[in-house]
Amino acid sequence: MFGKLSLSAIPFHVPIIMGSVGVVLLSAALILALITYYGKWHYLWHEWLTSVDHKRIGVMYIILALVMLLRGFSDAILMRSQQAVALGADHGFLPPGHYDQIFSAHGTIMIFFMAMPFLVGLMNVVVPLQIGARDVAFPFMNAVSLWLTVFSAGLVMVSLGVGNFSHAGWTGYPPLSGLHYSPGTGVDYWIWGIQLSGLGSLMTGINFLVTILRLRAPGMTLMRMPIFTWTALCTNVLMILAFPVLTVTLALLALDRYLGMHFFTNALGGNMMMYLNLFWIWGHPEVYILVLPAFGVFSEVVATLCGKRLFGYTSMIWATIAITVLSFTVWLHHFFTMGSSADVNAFFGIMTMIIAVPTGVKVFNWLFTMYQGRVRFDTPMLWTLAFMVTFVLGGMTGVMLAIPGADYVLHNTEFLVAHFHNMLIPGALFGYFAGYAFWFPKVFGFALNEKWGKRAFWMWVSGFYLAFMPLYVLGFLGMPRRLEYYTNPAWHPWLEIAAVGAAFILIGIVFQIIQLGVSIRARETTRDLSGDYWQDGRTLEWSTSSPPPLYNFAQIPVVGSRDAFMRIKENGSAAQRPVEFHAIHMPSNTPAGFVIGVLAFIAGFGLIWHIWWLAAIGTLGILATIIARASHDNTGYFIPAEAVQATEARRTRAPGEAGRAGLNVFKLPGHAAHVQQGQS
Amino acid sequence: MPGKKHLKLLGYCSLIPLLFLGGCSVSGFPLLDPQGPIGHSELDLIVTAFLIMLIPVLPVIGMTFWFAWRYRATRRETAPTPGWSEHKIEVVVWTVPAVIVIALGVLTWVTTHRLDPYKPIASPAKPIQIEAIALNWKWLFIYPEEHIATVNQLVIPVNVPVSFRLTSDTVMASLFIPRLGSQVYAMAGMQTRLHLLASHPGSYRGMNSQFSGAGFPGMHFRVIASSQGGYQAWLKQVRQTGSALNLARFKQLAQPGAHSPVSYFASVQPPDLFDQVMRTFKPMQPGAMAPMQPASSH
Repeated sequence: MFGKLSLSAIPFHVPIIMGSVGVVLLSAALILALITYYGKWHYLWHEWLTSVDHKRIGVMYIILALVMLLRGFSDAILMRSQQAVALGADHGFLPPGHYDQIFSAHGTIMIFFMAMPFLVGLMNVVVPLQIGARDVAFPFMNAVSLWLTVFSAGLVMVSLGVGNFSHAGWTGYPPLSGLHYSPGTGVDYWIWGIQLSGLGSLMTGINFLVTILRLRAPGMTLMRMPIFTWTALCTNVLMILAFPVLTVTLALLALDRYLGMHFFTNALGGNMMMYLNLFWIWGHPEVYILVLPAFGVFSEVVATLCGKRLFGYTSMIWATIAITVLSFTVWLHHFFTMGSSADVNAFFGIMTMIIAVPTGVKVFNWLFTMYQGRVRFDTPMLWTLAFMVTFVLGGMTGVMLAIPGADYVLHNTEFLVAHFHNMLIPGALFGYFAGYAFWFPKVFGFALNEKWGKRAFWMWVSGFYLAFMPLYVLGFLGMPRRLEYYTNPAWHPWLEIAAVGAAFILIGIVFQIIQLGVSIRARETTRDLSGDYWQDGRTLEWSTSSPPPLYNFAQIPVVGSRDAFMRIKENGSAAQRPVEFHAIHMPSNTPAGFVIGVLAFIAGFGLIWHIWWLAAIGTLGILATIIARASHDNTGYFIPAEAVQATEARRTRAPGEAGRAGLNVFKLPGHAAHVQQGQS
Repeated sequence: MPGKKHLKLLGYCSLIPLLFLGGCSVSGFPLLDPQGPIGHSELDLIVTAFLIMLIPVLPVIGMTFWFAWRYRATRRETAPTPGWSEHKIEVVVWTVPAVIVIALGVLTWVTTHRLDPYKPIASPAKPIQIEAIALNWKWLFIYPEEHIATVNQLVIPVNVPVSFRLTSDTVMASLFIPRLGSQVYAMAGMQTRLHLLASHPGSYRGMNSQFSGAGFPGMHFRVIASSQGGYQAWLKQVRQTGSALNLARFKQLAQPGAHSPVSYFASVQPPDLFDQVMRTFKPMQPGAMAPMQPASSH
């Protein structure tokens, strides 16, 4: 009846796990209680959970990313404190084998449930606004993507209290991840968690590719597109090409585990080398999926906060395209030590270095954008500067690892761990943080507190150096990665320094939480009334109000050049109001996306625990929901011209009233109040 | 070439701040103080690549700080705007990384062939053969020419190339002796190769560096590089004190267990144990009938 599931799957006897489960459950209960207390269930359901508005979906993605950042970072701090004490006979404070699950969960969560939602969230918020669109091409599919991601993150969280998570690392190499060496359900949590969110990512890729190619404002040719949209476009191409590979790879691994096949396991001619190749054919483009949008953020931030047009726009775009193409030609550098011939290894080593050329070009372009500009040290710019300094160090160690001869001794050591954190923390996370601070006023209509933002920034940056520079040293000390405990005393002091670094980052995260609280409390003092919060906004998102109205633009702007909003400001036409208003067609909210997410969670849980009837209910339910949704002929409505006019009048009339019409979480008119149902 | 030597010295010097931090010397760092020619070439390669990469990295870091400070918005005087050409700079920003990558590319091509772990090491001495089998979670080393075997200890003569054949009886592992150089994966059903050489006597740390499950932290061993005389004496000792390694004993060894004590085996039966272990994972060869299918296809 319940497959492999029984009460013994809940680790009641392990205090550390039960403690974490308790914290998670208590926080969830607290949030639910607060929602009930303030009577916000109706609001939450109608305005958020069923929303197909790209701005709200983007915000929900970023909330998911921030929550999962907390979870992933908890794993990180457990690992750092474990390794700081686990010397000699002392095997640390974690229950045996638990360390393995923690590093597996840390990698999985940070990549799939922190970084991916964060960048998809930023794309959601920014891309339609930058290209002068009213929503994405497929708003309903957008909601499905979101809820698949949220509920697959939920599956990973459930593994904390029900059963185990995978102990085979975030890369899940077989045969270790095969049924013989991992008989439990941990690897299945990993497989289905990633499968569902991967499906969401693939749909996001399709959605945004079509959005960018089809919904640009008139006059916005490809070479007039804002740079963030360009990087988003390239990321979407990568998602569409790379994610199906991951889906198939994990499906084959699932067949190995569920139906006793042997694609990757030892017996019957199965070959694990195939898995490594397939996994990294997805895995290396994935690095650029994470990094390119951050490059886009840095480009926007540098141009805006230096008050200067981006240096080498065309170079930047060709560099981005070059990275996109080349990212598919380097995957083998993840396993130079697997015994490929010198020709093959040298080829992939050199291809890897060639990627450093367009990346180097980008760095120089950012530098020369600063040159003779007016550099403002607002938080987004600080993240950008820290990125530039730190990222080139990571690039340097990356080139070292790209040389097979050097990789033979550096591979699998802490040097490697230091390197990829050195790429992804500045190269992706700092970019997301910069984007978060940069577009926060646009999305919510008030700004983040600069003082706490800067404090958090300094803790993060110093914490980063303290936590990861010692890992480079540990590489030269010959310390392999993923050690639960060790006997070599020479490693110990460096691991202690790294733990201090993790503590600094913890303080940084606490400061970020304080920053959010302080900013919300002081929101009336930092209202963005102009819509152009940084005053030097160059692209179309700054031309509409903050927060933007539901329909983004009362009139779709006509674009005549790059940096379209800058041109409008120079022409002096920014303050002009449209002469006449038209009814605007918008997609209706629908619960179908949320429902599909819940059903996917049920199906996934059933598959993980071999509860076949539950899996069938979930799968058939999804099918039924899709059919029901597809039978709906009327999925949109019109906002009447008078309502648009009223909203726009509020914005341009009284400065004190401006910016209250759209996505305002803290004082809510509710979209339903000023719209009426209409035929599509 | 004195110039090259100076450069190298400079490279080592640039790593010094790290060492001061720890208050220890280079000799404490296996990768910075290798004990064999492979490790030495790899260290040289790391230092050379590091120095070449400093050419773009240092200016970029310097320019970031300089431009950020020089052009800060709070500065009173406005910066002069000479008529500088974007296109010229754009040519430079593409050329500089390209030239550096071409240099590194040549270096990569040459060294990857020179340091190919499959390539035998040129030496007047006849290489000794070692067959290494990864077990959960220990290493079994078979000396096929000596008909002996050890668990979790590798004794080799100095200045004699060691020619490894690697396989695994379990999940993937990676044989890594940091002081000697390269590592290579060991995989079930397959054979990989590795060539190393110790040029100084000593006791070095060896390990599996590829995470392989619960007993992974205990999967390390000692490598003892000794003089030819010491090596011969050790062989004699193994032959006198070791027990017999046969299939039954091997099955016992293959049972999961970490921190296995060092064991010596005076004989290995069957002598092709390594190949037999490899074959156990390949019942379905091309042309051979899969055991699960009926004998006749009609």
